[in-house]
Amino acid sequence: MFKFLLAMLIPLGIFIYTWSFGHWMQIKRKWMGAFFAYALALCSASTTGIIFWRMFV
Amino acid sequence: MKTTTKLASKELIAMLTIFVASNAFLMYPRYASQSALEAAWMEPLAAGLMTLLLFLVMEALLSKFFPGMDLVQVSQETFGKFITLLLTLIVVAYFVFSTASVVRQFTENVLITVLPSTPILFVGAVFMAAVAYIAFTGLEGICRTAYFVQPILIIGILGLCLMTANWWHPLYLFPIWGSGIVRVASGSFAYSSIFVNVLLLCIIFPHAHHPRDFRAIGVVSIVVSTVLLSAFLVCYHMVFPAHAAGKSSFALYELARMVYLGRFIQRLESVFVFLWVTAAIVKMSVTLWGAGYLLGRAIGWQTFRPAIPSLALLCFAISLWKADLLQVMALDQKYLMQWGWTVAFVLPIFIVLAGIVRHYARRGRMGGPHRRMTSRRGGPQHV
Repeated sequence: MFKFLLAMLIPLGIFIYTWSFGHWMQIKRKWMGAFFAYALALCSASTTGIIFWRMFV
Repeated sequence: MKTTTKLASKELIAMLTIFVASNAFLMYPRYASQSALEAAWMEPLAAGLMTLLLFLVMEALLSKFFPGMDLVQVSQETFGKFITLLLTLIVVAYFVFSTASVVRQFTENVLITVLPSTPILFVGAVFMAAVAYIAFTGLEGICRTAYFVQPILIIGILGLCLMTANWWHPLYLFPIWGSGIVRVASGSFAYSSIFVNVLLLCIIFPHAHHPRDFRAIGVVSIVVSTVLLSAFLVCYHMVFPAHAAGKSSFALYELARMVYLGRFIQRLESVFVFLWVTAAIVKMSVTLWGAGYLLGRAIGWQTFRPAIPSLALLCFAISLWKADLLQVMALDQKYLMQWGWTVAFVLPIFIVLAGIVRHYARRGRMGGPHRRMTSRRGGPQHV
C-alpha cells in the first residue's frame, strides 16, 4: 500500500496540473475545452491508479 | 499561446524519415518475416510504393481544392466541428495506443538487453519523461532533434548492415518470392500502417517554411525510409534464415550481436543501444505531440501543452496494462498494425474526397464559377 501511495505522487501532481488547466478554460468560458481537460485528467489518473493498484497492492 | 512555427523542409524530412525508419528497431522485421519469409524485404518496398502513390494523389487533391489547408481544416469545412472532433478522437486514440505500444516494446528491449535488473516501472518512467519533455517543446523541438539524429541513424543502420557482411549468406534470400506473391502483397498492405507519416504530413505541412515543398518533403521521406527499411531487411535476412528472423523480437539487437570484425571489434550492441533509444524517443514524441496537437485543434484549446503530461501518463499506464511482452506484441500485430491503415490512409482520403464532393455540391447550388476553398482561420495557431 505504501508503494502504491508513493508511486501515485507524480500522477497526482499531473492530475492537479491538468485539472487546473480545465479550470483555466472554464474561467475563459470555453466549456468544451474545460470538459475535455477535466475528462483527460480523470482518465489518465484513474487508469494509472488501476494499473499501480494491480502492481503494488 | 498563439505562435506559428516555421520549419525547414530538411527538418521535416528528418523527422518523418526517423518516424518510419525506427520501425526497423521494433517488431516490424518480425511481422514482415513471418508473413513473407525470404521476401520480407519486398514488403516495405511494396508498402512504400503504395504509400507514395496515395500521397501523390492526396497532395494533388489538397493543393488543387484546398490550398494551404491542413486535414483538420478540410474536415472542419466539410463536416463541421462536431464530426471533426469525433474523427480526431479516433486518430488521437490511435496515436495514444501506438505510443503506449512502442514504449512497452522499447522498455522491454532495454530491460532484456542492457538493464536486466532494473524495474520496468523505472525504465518506462524515464523513457516517458524524456518523450513528454520533447513533445512539450513542440514540433520545432522534435524536428530539430530529429535533424540532429538523422545522420547518426542512417550511418548507424547502414554501418550495421555492412559490419555484418562477413555473415551474409545471399542464398538465404531464395526463393525470391518467399511465401508467395499473394502473401507478400497482403502482408505489404496489412503492415502499411508504418507509413503513418503521410497522415502526419497532411496535418503539419502548413508549418513548413515553404508549404510548396509539401510534395518534395513527402516523397523524399517516404523514399528514404523505404530504402532504409528494405536495406536493413535484406541484410537481416542474409544473416538469419527467414524462420529464425520471424521469431526474433529485436532484429537490430540480434544483428548488432553478430558483429565480429576481429578480436577487439565484436558485439557492438552496446553502441547501438544509444541509437535505437534516441530514435525511439523521437518516434514516441512525434506520436505524443500528434495526439496533443490534434486534441487541441479539434477541441479549440488555446494551447495543447498542458495536456502533454496527462497524455504521457495515460500512454505509460496503458503500456503497463498487459502482463508481458508477448501479449503486447499480439495486440500490436492484431489491431495497431493490421488495422492502422484505416487511420493512416482511409481516413485522410475519405475527408479529402468528402470535401471535394461538398465543394462541387456547393458550386452546383450557387451556380458560380469554380472557386477554391481557402482557410478562414488563417492557418495553424499553436504547435
